[in-house]
Amino acid sequence: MKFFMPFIAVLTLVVLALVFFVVPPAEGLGNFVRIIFIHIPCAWIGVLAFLIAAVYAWRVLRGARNGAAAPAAVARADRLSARSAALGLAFTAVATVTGAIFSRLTWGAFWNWDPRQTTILCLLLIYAAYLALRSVTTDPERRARVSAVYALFSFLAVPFLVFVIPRFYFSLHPEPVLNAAGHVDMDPVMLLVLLLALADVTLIYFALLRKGAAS
Amino acid sequence: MSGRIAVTFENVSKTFGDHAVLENISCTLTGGRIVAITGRNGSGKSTFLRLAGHLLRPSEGRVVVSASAPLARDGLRRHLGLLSPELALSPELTGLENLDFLAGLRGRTLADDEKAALCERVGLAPEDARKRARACSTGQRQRLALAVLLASNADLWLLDEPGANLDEAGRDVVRREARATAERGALVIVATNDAGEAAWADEVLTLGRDANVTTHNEAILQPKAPSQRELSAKDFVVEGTNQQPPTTKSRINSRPTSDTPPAASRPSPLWEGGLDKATAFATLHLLRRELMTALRSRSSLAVMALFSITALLALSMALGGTVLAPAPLSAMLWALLFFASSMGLGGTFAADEAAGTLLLLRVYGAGQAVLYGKTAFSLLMLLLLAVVLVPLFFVLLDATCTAPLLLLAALVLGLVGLAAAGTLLSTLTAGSGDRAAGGLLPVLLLPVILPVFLPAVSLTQAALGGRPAGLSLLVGMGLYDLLLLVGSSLLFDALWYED
Repeated sequence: MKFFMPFIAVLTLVVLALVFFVVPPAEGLGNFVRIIFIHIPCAWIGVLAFLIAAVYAWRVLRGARNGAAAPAAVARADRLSARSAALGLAFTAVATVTGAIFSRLTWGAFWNWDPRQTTILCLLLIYAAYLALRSVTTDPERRARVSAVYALFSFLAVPFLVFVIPRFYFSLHPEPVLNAAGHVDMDPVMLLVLLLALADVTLIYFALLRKGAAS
Repeated sequence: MSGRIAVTFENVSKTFGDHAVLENISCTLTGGRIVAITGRNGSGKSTFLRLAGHLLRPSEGRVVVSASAPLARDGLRRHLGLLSPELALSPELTGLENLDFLAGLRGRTLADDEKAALCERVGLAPEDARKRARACSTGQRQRLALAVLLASNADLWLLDEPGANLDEAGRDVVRREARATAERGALVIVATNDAGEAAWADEVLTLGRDANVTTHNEAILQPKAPSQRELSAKDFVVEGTNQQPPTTKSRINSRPTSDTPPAASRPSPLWEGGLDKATAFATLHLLRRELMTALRSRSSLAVMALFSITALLALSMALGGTVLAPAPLSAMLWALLFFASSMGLGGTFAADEAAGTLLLLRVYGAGQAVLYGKTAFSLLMLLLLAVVLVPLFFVLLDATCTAPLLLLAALVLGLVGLAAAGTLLSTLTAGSGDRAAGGLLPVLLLPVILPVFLPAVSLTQAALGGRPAGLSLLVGMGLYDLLLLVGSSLLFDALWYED
């Protein structure tokens, strides 16, 4: 684990170099296409962080149900759930801003309530609501349970928002990397860099999460 | 009950924030006697009582309540009764209605003569029992709370300062009933500072609190007979003087012994087929109580209706007769419904907390029955709001509905989702410990309700003659509503029960 952070730092530099010097300009988008190498990984972490927060929330409730046998484990799970939500909020905010910039450059408006914009805004709202709820709940034990319940309950909306709603409404948003037909319709170099960027941002997320658990 | 009730504390500590109230308490209290918990103010007497009734969760260790076997949460609730100055009866219900309601929560129906007999036992005049609880004096309410306790047939009585607000005759009634209850095998735990009340007990536990008198976490056992015995630091044992011996012997820093019963099993939420006859019965009683309270106080309904009508009038005035297309009309209708609903749903549990009846529901109500009853009431309240608001909306904004059935379906499914999610989320805000949390409900609710809200807007738009919407949206709304109902049922117990 000693080499974990230096490895992430090197990988990040490599990914940045690839994004700015190797990825070719895209047809119709030119150099603006580079923004997707930040936008897509951040949006991915927005959803992943939510899933991880929900998993730790479930551990909080399961630990609490087993009585106070392992209060340290419950407190750790609560801390990790909250940390994941805070990181999710930051990554989702970046994804929202980069998405809005991309939208302005390609569709002429920062915001037009596209279904995917609605989805990401909803994630942002859930994270904000979760953290606000934590901030107003004074008793630590109750805060852990209340926020765990909200993390799990709001997670019910995610499959609907990510997978169902966008299919029912017209969207200008480009097809996902893996499109509805199950094909990857992307330049191979771009795809490789995108996968590296996804791996890099995922590692950054887990590194920050671990750091939060230790503190 | 198949066996005598016992409460076992196993190395229990309780802290509130950084403040340790009880530390490393181990003891077993068995049925058939009265145990008094005494100690200075702040020594943790009330905390001890709440831990014994699983109304509080220990910070460390565990509390096991068992009959012949450990009791599950709902099973424990059926054995539990509490008399405390902090426990308030439903203020808008009469004494007799309170008796009906609380017996109903326990799955029982009381005949008129039973209620009359209970009131007579506690010394409550018939005309006082017919008054609303808020019109009764504090002493009368305490007597009524005792009648509720008697009606509950509880085997674990938790009496917190039971003589508070009572005259001498009232205290005699409590003493007599506590003794009779202990003699039928129940366990009566009395937390008191009153020497007279402590004298009722077969055992007296003094919780050490002041470092100058005893060590902080020391507890002293004071059996009245045959001799006083003092335990060394940290633990205490309650041994029967004339009853069965305790099941667990405690030692200094002892860990739970191997014959300790396992932890209580899960209750049965909706998903596990838990809507049994008793739950349905209790749900109906809760719904009836909510309706009676709402109709008598009218405050929550009036505030919600006035808010929505005022917002609608403001919109209509601002538009000044401009006829809007179906898209903005449907968006406005749902925005109005959402914010008015948030306002009404915010009071679902907050009203109980403000009136002090939340503790009453926690003691006498099973979690799932409370959730179903509250959700059903929330839904009725929202449907009533829609009945008032929607026609007014059509009149004031000159809207035309081309598909009334579609509109009706969208309204019903949308409001079911709002009721299910809003009821659970209002529990989160009510118990957060901060008054500002009440304002958070719309923030918490909107993202969760969005998978219902967006299709509802689209379907309403279609019903108003706008862009057609597929019926698959209705199916999606129905499925999501179901998911919300099941999800809230599964998660509610984590909020409702402290154990």
